[in-house]
Amino acid sequence: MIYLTRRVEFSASHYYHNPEFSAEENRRIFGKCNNPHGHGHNYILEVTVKGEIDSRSGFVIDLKQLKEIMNREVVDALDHRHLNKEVPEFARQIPTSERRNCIAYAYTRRPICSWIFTEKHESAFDAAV
Amino acid sequence: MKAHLTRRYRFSASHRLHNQSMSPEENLATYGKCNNPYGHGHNYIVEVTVSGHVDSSTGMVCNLVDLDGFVKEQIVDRYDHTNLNMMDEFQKLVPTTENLCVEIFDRLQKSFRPAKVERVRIEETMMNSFEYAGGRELAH
Repeated sequence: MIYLTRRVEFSASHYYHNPEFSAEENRRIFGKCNNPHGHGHNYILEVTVKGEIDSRSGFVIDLKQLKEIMNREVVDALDHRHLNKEVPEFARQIPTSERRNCIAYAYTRRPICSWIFTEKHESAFDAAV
Repeated sequence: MKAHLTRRYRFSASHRLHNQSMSPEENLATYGKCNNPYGHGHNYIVEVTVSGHVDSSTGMVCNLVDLDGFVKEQIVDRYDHTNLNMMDEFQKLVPTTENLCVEIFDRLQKSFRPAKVERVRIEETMMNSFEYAGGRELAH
């Protein structure tokens, strides 16, 4: 069993707002993240896959394939976007780091051990696993 | 009381990903630019994690001087500024970083006695890393 971790970086804006809450509740729960004009982060995404080393190629996974999937499914979909307004998955869900908008498992056929999103500056220590 | 200790080391080496049993086309399809006939290089960062009981008189899991000396002699001096494809261990094994990670773990575990070698993690680039713990599952 060996583990491979790949990092990518993207930047996006978002705000936290639950339409089921009152304006006061939203402000109390989400604080400045509830600013209606949004705010942004640079995000780092780490994806870890695990598996046995293929004896012929010496790879646990084709890294080119994993890069393509992460670029297509994450970077192209999210980079320089407003997560609430432009990303369909977040139209009805609050785009917290805990929400994992990732489908690489089906493509890679390797168990995905972890998706770690880090908001790079404001909360570098609040990675959601 | 058991504790873990992780220490980072670095070395620079070149490699070429090429399997002699594959055709040139298959090598290119499998390894892409890593199959460049002249090779390419990386600054590898190797993290070694060892564990053991904290010695009541020294307060240490193991003496860092011992760990540093061992890793320097067995790993850093062995691989730094070399071409990995020229090493004995990679004559029949493609020097992917997966295989390098296993090789380094086995080499350390085989002979390092002051503490238990738990895990080797290699950063091949700022974007890619590999971890091996003797085949054990790791918490992620």
